Amino acid sequence: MTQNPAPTLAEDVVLLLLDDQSGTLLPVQEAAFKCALAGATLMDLAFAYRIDTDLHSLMVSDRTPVGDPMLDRILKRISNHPEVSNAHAWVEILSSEEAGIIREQALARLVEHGVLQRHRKLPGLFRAHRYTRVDGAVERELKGHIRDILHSDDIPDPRDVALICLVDACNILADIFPREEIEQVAPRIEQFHRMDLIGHEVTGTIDEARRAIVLAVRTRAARFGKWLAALSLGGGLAAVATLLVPRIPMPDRFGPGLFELLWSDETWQQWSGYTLLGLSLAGLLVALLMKTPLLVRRKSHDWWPLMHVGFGAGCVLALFAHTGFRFGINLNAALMWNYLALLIFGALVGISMRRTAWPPVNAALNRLRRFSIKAHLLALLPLPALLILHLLIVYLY
Amino acid sequence: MNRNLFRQTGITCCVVVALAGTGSAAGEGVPYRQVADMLYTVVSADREVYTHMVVQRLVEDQQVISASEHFEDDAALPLPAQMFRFGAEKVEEQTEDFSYALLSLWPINKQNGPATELEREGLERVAENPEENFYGEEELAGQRYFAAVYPDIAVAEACASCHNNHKDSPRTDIEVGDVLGGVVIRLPML
Amino acid sequence: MSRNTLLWILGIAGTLLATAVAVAWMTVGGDRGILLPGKTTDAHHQIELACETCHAAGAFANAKKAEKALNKACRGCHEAELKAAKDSHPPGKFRNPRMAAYWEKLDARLCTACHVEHRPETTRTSAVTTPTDFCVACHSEEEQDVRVNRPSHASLAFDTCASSGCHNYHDNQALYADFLVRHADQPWLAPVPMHRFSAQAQTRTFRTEAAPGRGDAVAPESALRDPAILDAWAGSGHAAAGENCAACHAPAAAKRAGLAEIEAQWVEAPDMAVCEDCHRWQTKTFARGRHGMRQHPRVSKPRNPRRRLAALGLGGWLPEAAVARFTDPAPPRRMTVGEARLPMHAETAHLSLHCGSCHRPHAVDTEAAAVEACASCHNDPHTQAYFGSPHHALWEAEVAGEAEPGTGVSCATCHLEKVERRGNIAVNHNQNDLLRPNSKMIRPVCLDCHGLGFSLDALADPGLIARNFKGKPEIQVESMAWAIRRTVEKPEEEGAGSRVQSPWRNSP
Repeated sequence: MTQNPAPTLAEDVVLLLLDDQSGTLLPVQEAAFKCALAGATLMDLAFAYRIDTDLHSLMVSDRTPVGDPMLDRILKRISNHPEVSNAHAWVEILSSEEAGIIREQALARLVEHGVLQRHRKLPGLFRAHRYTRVDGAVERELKGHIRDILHSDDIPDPRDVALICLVDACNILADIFPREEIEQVAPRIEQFHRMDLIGHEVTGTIDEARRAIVLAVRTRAARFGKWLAALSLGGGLAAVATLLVPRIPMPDRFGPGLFELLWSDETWQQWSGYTLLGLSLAGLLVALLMKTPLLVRRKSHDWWPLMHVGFGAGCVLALFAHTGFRFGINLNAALMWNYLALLIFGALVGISMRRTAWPPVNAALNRLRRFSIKAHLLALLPLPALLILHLLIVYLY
Repeated sequence: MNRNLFRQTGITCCVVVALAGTGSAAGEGVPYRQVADMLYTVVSADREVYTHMVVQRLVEDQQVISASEHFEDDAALPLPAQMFRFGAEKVEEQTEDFSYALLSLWPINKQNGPATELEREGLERVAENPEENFYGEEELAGQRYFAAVYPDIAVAEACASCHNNHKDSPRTDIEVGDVLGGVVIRLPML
Repeated sequence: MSRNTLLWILGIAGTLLATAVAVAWMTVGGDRGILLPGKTTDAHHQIELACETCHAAGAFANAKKAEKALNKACRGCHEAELKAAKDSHPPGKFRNPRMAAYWEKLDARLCTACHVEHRPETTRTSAVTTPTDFCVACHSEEEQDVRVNRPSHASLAFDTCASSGCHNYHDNQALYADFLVRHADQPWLAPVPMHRFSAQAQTRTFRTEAAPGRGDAVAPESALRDPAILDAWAGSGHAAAGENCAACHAPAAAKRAGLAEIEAQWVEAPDMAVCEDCHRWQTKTFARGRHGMRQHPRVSKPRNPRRRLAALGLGGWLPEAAVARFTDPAPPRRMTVGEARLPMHAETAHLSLHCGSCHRPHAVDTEAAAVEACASCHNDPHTQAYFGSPHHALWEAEVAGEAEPGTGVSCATCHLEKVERRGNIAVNHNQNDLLRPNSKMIRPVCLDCHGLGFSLDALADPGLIARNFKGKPEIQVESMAWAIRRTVEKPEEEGAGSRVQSPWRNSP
């Protein structure tokens, strides 16, 4: 691939996920995106005959550099660690430690090759840059190309098959194409996964490598999503319980009962209140860091959504400790409703990250996620003011 | 750092008390023990004056009025012990610089029994040995106090008979001259 | 500008604006209704937006100072009442450091240990926010264990101490053992049942020889048209005391008696202040009670936004229109019936409370003010049941002149205390002094006609109270029997019994 300007699979993944309108990457599940990038890199190495992998092992078959600095760096890393010897382990390592760099380099190369144009975003709080296509500079529209492949019965190019299988394994295909379309081509995607390309343009080794990498990517993406969804579900259910369950009555017995201390002792109230505030701020901080380019390269980045949801679930518990399902009146009630809305919509975002085997369900989840993200952010708007007042009342009166 | 404090105690008496600056006689202030002794002198003098010049005179000598526990309902004089306690409560409303209480190991009202270890020890000591006051230190709610316990003796037949006959009294064998309880004076230590 | 940026700007600006507005409400002025953290107790809701009445410590005061200020506010209005009740647990009793161990359990030095405001969920009767068995805090261990000290109490639960008609935390004037023993032998009804002070109040005579007739009224022509008014005035105590029309309608001109001047200063509907000029104590006590507490001198006045802005260094900085937005809503000086939380007649919701609400200005007869005035607004079972009750029958007989003065029992007999002041009987218009706990009524009211035992039983029977004492008490308060057993009979025989059938059932 030395002289070849043909894009790497990682570049294709990035291009596929670029939203033409906003010029930013689609808000897909971060971990899935990273798995896709890791898988794409491994796949590129396999296509370049540098690594050899099947369901049980991954070995470097040729140490000569490919010519692409990114791929060469990864190749070097893999050859330096012969003890890590299967695709699952490498997908995990690369997705957590290299994905950010792979993404940035892919974007940089796309700009370098004149495919994309980089724009600086002025306020730049979430993502520093916006990318738009340079009209006419690209010979083909990748999305249109993939669409054509999905809709035709022709025998596809093995790289395209690999790309489609990869993004499908990460469950982000539904983020790229409309729901109806995905439903329509679901059998064709299924066919791609099973497709035996031996004898066409590539060898059986590559076909086997593709299967192994896709499987590793799928496993890794699903494992992470499972945790995220489970935690979100737990937190969300607890938050909904706050809405539905009647408040726990205060016991009519004198003495230091836990409930009484929790809900009527001022010191305890302050502890639970500030714990809640701390957890909320921690959750907010994680959310901001997740979206800040400065920290994208940190290796633990894909755990952050999980941390964000973890803080959210912690908030539900602290909220219970602080209020005992009580809504209060006036400002307190407004704060409670607002906070619960934030928690519940947040939980819905986490739950809707989950992908199932049924494309219609996935599409519905997708719509739910898009709506919940908006609602989660909207619920965040009035919260600081309400919280400040809630605190000020205590200190001014 | 002598501070002159004008504090009303008992009925009408004013006393100038120089509060102690240190815990021992070595300091430049008056020692705690001496302050406590001075306070005791004032409060016990007030009570004695009330007992003899008001209660005994009007109730027994001139027989114009009775003294009663329910003095308001009975339009009577408060008992000397009550008078003493009202003074103590008044002091508590006005200052935290010192406090005093009339306590007993055999109280008619249970709230006047010993409430701290030191009170119990002091009351037991003065009951056994009425000639000697008891002095000690204790810590209550994070504050160190100097405490003095002075024996309180049934000086008149009225004292003994009331304590023997009251429905709530735990003792019925008190004789004149017996120790009934003690006066506890507390000074917060600086 | 992208949508995200817009949201950020919107969020930050909105937060700053909302915070600034609310901080201005808190520190400068404005309607603070939405800041109330919980429903305010009982009558306090009338003054709940005069926050500074109780929250007097100022902004960012430490917890101790704030608590101190709160408790000072409680005592400011309630201390006299507690003193009069011979408070059994005065805070002063607990300040001695020897009580330190008890402060941990229940800090009786503070009103707020048991009465926390804005806590509707735990607010029990009499605005108590501690569990009903709070006595357990100090009276259940070692020497203080009441179950050991009083064998009769051995099997009693602590939640019955204050709920069975036996004890109150503050006012035990009619409940203490010696009082019970002393009043043990009283029949359920006195041979000559008569409320002393009511009788004295009813039988006072006006100096009739000095009283003017309707022709003596001095007022502008237009005001003299209604003969009924003139007659009412001529028969009133006002006329008997030599107070002519101008005394109320043109007080400044009254003494000089020039008709022209009176006409010039004539006020058709005089304000309460006119009544206050002569009836000072009544007005003062009215402002201490539930009907007039918004006029209580300790209730904080609406904040002055200009002065507060100046204190913040913003004086003259804001335009007049903006300042107007941050001005306390002028609280209605008088409580309206509609604001009451007790059941009231809906059609009277718009009426406000002042002297004239209960007293007809010209007739000034206290009969109407004693029953009709109350029942014209109050619409709860106890009030409804009054009509047709034995007490009501007695009242009707008295009003009709068929019975002696003081034998009738009106609403005011029980709920508006009559006291002797400088040889006269005056009515304490603070009904709270004679309301809760209901044993407050025993000594000044019930015992004039009824025995103590019967009174205790009757007041402990909520059903009987709801029926306004039609019938006899269904339950018996055992405190009197136990007190007798303990003092008069042999103490060893004392023991707890269960609630027994009321002895009053078969009495005449």
